[in-house]
Amino acid sequence: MDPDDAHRQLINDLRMGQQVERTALAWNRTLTALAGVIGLIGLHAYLNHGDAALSVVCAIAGVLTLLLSAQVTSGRHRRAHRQLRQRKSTRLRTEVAFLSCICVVIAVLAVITVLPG
Amino acid sequence: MTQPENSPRWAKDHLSDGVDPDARFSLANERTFLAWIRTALGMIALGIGIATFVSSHVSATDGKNATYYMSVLIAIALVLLGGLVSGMSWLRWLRVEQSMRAQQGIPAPRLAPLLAIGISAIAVLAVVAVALRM
Repeated sequence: MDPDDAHRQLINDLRMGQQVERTALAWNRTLTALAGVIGLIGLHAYLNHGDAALSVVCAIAGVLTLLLSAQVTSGRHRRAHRQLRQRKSTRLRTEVAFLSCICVVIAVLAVITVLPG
Repeated sequence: MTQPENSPRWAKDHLSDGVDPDARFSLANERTFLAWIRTALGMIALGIGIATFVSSHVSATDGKNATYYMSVLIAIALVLLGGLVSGMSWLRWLRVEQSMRAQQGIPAPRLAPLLAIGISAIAVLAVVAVALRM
């Protein structure tokens, strides 16, 4: 490989690496926001309805989401790098569908808690 | 590029035709999906915040009036719009993936006008709520 080709390869690898990193960070931001919204629902349920059980469930779910966030971010980063090296597709099909469904469920739960009792 | 072997059934049904796009484009599509989800979460959070504020304010002062019910309506509208955006963002991600696999252009977004109309309607409701307060 001549120096120009090696340089091009290096730049390409660097760009790919940054793409993977940016995507992993976007997953981290999104899951952190999700944990915040879950916590907010729990707080609202406690302050306005005095529902301690739902608040505890939301607190546990929020903490689990934060832990999942760390796992998904690092796992996504590792897996995408490996898939790119093996020249495989990098899509996260199940996770994308799952996250979308979770947000719809959270919206339904939020509507139920927001409705005046 | 080759397909992931452990793809779920719905992905095999909807994302098996055509050729795999450049990995950078797939990752960019994934980030756009995540940005839509964050937008939806922001609307849900705002809706819950409004409901919490209004409920605590009403209990501290006078009884439930038209402004209170209008504020609750705004909160519910925001949360419902957030739920709709999060559901549709998955369909948008799927449509863009299919277009890229078919080597066609990116389809026009249906989410953007929906979001613009929804937020405009909520803004009108907010103006009415403020006017009722005066």
